Amino acid sequence: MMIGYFFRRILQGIGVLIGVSFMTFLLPSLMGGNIARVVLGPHATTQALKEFLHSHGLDLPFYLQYYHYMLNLFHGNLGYSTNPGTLDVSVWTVIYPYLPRTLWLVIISLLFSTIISIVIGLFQGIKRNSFFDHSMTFLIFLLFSFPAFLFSLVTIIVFSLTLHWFPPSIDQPTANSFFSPLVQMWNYPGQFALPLTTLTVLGIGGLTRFMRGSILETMVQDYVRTARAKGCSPNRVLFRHAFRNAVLPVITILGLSLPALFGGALITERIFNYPGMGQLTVASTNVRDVPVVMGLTLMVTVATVLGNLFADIGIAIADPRIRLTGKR
Amino acid sequence: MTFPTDWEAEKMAVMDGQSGHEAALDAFAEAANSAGDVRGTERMWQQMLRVFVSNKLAVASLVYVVAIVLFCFVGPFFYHSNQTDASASIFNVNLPPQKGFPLGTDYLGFDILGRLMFAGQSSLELGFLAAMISLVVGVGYGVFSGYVGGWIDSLLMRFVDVMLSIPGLFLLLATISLFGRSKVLLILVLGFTGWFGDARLLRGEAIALRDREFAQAVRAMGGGSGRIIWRHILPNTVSTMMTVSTFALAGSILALTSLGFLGLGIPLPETDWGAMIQFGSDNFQIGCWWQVYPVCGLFLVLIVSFNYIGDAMRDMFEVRLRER
Repeated sequence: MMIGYFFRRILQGIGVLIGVSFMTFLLPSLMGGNIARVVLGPHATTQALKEFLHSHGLDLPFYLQYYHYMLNLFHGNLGYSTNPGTLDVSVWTVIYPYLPRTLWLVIISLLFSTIISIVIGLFQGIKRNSFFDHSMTFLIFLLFSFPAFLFSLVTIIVFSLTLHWFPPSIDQPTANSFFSPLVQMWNYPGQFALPLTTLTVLGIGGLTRFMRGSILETMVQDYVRTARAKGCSPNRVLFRHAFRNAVLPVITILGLSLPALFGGALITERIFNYPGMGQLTVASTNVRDVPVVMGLTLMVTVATVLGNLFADIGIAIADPRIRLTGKR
Repeated sequence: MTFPTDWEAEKMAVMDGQSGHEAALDAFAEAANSAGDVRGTERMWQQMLRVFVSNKLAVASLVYVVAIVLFCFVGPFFYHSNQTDASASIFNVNLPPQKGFPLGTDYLGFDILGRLMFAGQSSLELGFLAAMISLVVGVGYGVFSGYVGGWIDSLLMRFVDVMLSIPGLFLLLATISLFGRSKVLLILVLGFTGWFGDARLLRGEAIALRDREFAQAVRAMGGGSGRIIWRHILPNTVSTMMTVSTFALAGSILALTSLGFLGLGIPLPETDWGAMIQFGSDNFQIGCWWQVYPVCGLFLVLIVSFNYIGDAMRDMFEVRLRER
């Protein structure tokens, strides 16, 4: 039963990924021959345009193009950059150093926002309608409507330019390995304090609201009443009986907050001048380096889909009801 | 003021139906719905209005939004400033607030107060048009998918799943890298990348409504699918649509401003709030606070206001759902 559920869920994830890869193939082909014009500039001759299309296989029929695209994709080939600075370098080589930087930024901030929102939501749920509850609800509503770039800007103005507590930007990374961003964070926590705060706050809004609702819902369940009736202390009822059941649904929401976090990371990287995927996407969009932008979009979506998959599998392991009925 | 009971509502509906107030087909179908009260509608609106007005913050938000719209579109008739001639403004670069420039000038020498209106016009226009596109596409797609059902519905919704798993800002940038950016293209790009969530919501509504008694009644009397969708399903989703459109408006203005902030918004000589914030924040380090605070404050309060209005609208329509 459990294997069946995982199998279904993984197949679903693969389906979404195939769909996304189809979109990253389809969108550029919507431009048709115009892509040659973008790459070669407005003064290119007709002959040069034709040669470009032919050498990139863009004059083939649609289904053959898609076949080649998918074949390359399975070989890890995402195409070649059209940016004059990195002309004809493979997309993977261009984007690889940028991936782990954004990934760690998102993972660490997701960790922080999960812990913080579970704690806040828990206390809100217990002390319902108290001053704490109302003020937190208001504060979170406010933070929730704060756009990422405005929040970063405010934190820079207050903590960096006025109070001089933290530097307004991050040093350029020197190493490109998968764990080097983590090492850099560990060595220079001050530089990462503001960007991580921005991303953490971005995630807190929805999670806290959800955790508060979840704990309120759990506290009126029969098994909680039973625990109270048999004489458990309020703390034991809360942490042994209610807490674990209330936290579980939050895990599913974690995966859903990933797209917004990656979008937030894009803006935060730009503001703090951190060369992650977001920076590269903006730079590549500016020079209209379509293959790199598509490669980045594909990568960020793969991360999102995998995140959701892990969240669902994690919760299915923790909660047998889900894998038995196959429903969330 | 009390809401009519089911019995009263039914009586009124039947009475109105007899007086030929509506086409007999629709009146009968509405009567079959038993709470679909023709004369009660007016009272219902009054009641919803009361719920909305009782939310002071939402009313204040609405006043603020209207004020900003007037400020941007009517303001320039009363407050004249040079916003396009860069050769004339070059002598006034980065001036602090003073006589003649109540909020100072920006890095190109344009007057900030006038700039707020000028940039606001394009931000609001583009945001509004993009939100309308995404609303129309999202509602059409979602209602169609939900109404048709079956494998078509599954296929259409898988597409929405795929698009929703691509982080929105990345999708926007990917589309811009393909098609470039001009005012019209930005509207289209924002509109056509923002409707996926709306479609999913409206699909759920359509599924809930398509088998309700009034829809069955129309079907039984020989009414076609077009009539059911147009006359019965769509009017019943108005509440969802209004809430969705408020958030869509906030979302598209926010997305546009984010793009402007990333340097990918409306190209010069036109501008938007995002570009103002970006250039202002570059100059903040050399002390030009007047280039940052007014535009950030105005924009932030606008976004918060939209969210409040959206929330209040949801509450307002929940009253109606509860009474039903």
